[in-house]
Amino acid sequence: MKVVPREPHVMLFVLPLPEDEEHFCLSYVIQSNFSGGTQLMANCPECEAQITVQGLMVGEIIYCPDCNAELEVLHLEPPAVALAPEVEEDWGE
Amino acid sequence: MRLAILTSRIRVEEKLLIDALRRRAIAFDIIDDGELLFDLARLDEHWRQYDAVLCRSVSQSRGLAVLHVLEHWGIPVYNSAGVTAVCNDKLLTTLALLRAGIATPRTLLAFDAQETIRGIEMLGYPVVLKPTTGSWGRLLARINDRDAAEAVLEHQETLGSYQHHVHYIQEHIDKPQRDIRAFVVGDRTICAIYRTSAHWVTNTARGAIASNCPVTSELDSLCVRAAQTVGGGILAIDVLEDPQRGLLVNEINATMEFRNSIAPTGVDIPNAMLDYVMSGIEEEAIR
Repeated sequence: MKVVPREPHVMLFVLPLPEDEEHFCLSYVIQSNFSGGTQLMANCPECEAQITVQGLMVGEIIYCPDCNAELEVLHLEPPAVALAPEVEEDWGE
Repeated sequence: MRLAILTSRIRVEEKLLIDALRRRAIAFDIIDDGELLFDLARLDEHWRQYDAVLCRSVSQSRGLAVLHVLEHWGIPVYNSAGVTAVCNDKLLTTLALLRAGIATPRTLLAFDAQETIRGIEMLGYPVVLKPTTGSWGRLLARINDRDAAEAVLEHQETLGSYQHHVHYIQEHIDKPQRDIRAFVVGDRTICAIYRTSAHWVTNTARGAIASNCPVTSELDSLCVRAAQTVGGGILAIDVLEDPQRGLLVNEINATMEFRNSIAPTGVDIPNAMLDYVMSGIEEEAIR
């Protein structure tokens, strides 16, 4: 089980102005434009946080980084997660 | 060559097996037990493409049911339904161990609360009450006195399903804050760990720490015998160290978890499991 690091939506950069080193400008890049799209993001059904399913497998259990809900990866394309089923009495080794 | 891995959810163990299969370029499918529908009298031809099916269902009841059906259809499975059925049931495991003369904690069985308390007091406090099914150290109770016995039994009889009305009463072993988990694949104990915890329940699922346990000839021999007495295969044997009697086999697991055991032992458990399955397939092909 793992907690999936939440992808940043916005990345901020502080850049010096070319002509004036004492002043800086604030630039930002929207994450979806920056890393090739938001197609690998699913929404947590509990708190609606965006969760990346990149590198995961269908059936894998993860924890929402925002609300810590236990989630099961249902699909990768399109990405979907659901609240994981409760541990049942017959589960085990 | 194509394998199927039957799963309920993808744990670390399944990912390790999948990684090993990919490295060995063995074709495989992951089959979710929740998506299965069997028409029992008609062999689903889809299953014929598999040279073997490795059961990794976290649901013991689903896994066992699928194994029964696939065996009925003649599909090779690991572990077999018979082995899995015995391992999933602590009563059947204990009876198998007793039949083979393998040292195991003294165990009593009762149904009514009054007789259960009589059994508990025959063994003497403390004792361990366990459900006959279940895993990960859940619903175990160390009963230290009559008050606790009466309370737990009342809870089991009032709140529990019918399985909890079968009382499996085991003597408490004064183990040295650890037990041994040994991994048997075929006719060899490939590695073992100590599971150490300040708590009397020493399952790693309950927070016990894994460290390497040397596989002595005594441990190897005991665990291989225990594995073979339930039918053999890919099995994890839980062993208790009794100060007077030495090693006692406690339980046997047919769908073993091993994520915490690779690093301390240095043994590539998933590849050892696949070696066993592959050799089984080869033997089947020669017949």
